[in-house]
Amino acid sequence: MFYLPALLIGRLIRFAVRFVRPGGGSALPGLVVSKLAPNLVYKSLNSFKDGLVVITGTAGKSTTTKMVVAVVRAHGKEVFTNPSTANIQQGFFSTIVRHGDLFGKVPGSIAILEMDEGHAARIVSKVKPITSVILNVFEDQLDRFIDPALVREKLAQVAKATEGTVILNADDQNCLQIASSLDNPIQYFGLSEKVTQSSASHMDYAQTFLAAIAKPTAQSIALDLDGLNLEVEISKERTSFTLPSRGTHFALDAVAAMACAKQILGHEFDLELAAAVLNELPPVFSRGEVRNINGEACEFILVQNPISMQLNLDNLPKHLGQVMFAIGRDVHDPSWMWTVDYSALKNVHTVTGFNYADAALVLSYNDVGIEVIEPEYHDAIDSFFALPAPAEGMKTVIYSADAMRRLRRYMGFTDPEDVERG
Amino acid sequence: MAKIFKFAALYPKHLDLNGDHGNLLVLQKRLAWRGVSADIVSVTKPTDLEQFDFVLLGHGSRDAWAEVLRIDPELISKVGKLVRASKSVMAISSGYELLIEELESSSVSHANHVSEFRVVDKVVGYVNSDLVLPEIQQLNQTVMTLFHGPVLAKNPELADQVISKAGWCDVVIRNLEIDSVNELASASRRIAFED
Repeated sequence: MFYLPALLIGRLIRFAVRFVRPGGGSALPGLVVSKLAPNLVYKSLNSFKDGLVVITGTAGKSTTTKMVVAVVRAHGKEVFTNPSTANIQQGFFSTIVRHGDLFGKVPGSIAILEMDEGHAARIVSKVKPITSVILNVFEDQLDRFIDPALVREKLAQVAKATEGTVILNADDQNCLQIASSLDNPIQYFGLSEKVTQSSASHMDYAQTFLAAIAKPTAQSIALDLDGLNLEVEISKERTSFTLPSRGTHFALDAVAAMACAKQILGHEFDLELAAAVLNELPPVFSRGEVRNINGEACEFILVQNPISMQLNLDNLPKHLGQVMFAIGRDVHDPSWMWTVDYSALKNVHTVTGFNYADAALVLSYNDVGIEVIEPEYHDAIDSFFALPAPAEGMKTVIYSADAMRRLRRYMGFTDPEDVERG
Repeated sequence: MAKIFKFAALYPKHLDLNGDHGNLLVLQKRLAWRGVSADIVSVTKPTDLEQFDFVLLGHGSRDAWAEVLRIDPELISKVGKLVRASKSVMAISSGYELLIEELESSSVSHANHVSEFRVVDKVVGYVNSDLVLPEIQQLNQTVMTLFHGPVLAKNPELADQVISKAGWCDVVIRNLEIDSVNELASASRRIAFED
């Protein structure tokens, strides 16, 4: 009963914000409710019969979570999850306001949540996950985390708080360091030697600068990757399916998701059903999402940190149409853009976003041709999509999270589930 | 044949956590746009740093520095010798900390961690550090700064000052490329303090 007034206020705020700004209203209700009823999130997350599954790490959380949820749901389980934009504590409150009843009870027998690596450590101190997936540690958000070793320590806290199995990336020395401190059962996922050697860009995990730990045998392996076609081995069973988006990192997300789904479902896990689900799964919005704009297919690529920028640039299609490069306010310290190799990007048509000047500077010094620098974001969007269709390839938007949110709102793409395969 | 200058990127896999090595690219391109060539050389365990026209000592994580100093315990004293010999050097954040400790034979203190843009003597940069040190100081031909990442891109006057002091070329030479990046740098400095 204590949570009723807070949840009522949260719902009213959500209604008001969405009335004023359609498609908005996801953050403020959570912020207000988190102040009024700070323990609500722990009560709600502790209420699932089959427990809480946490998916965390620097990169790949949204895609992996979406894959796990889709596979587990296809096996008949009722799953509570969070949208990819709501992976910090405030976002969990917003999700509960949106999906829960007025007592804070949310539907589902199991919660499968992606969690920001900083917030996850705080939440698991009060809600113990039954299973956790730790995807990786990359150099990211150093203005917030300072040193990748501190991120590894936070993820180790998540692993140690886990009551059951911890699922770890066999290719990332950070995960192996975490494993060395655990008493839990561990499952590993990873890339085969063939995929590792053939990938367009190697996964440059944050270096540990500690004595290297030998790669353990992974139970879930990306065996072969040819374009979008992925062959996997899950506990010695093999299958194939097509990925929703290009790149080795998505293959790794897929095997992590398979490993997690198998852990959750146990003997009920059906590999062929899982493959069929992933075969049809659309990408998470802006992770290689292709949308029709003015009768023309356009690709949207989210870049949030050096590794996602690097992997996405290295996996750009051979024939690329005009590119809009938009870096928004979320890039508090743009220094990381200088750690990226831009050789795969020869030309950008439009540079824009709040941090347009820093974006254009790094591209200019890296010999990337720029046709238009437009500080006004909405003007840039209008002009870019009014350009004639390219002779080859698709118009492509490469943008940071803030630029993505602003573009989606401006263009009326308000439903995060409204994403199709390209 | 015109001289090709040589810039040393010290331990780039360890000491480029925030893109500090972008400063080498900035110097190289600003020289190239004025018709002067420079090569950037990745250097680990250097035996002869004197051969380089410019040496960059960037910022690294705690564990990265532990490994660098295990591989090369004399690194900081080698760079200190360059500073004393008035060679061109740039040291950033933890590189600055270790270098100033070497030069002044005293420890740098630590206080509350700050993570924000600051401006000092018209130079704008991002500080992400708990070090109690001036944000920027120059000694002989050495620039030492807490401003991490590509501070020379954001502050082309400082970049041209480094070039001019070293006598690599006449910085009065301007052209379209230089004017274009200077204009962007000016916008970048302004945006750094916008809400």
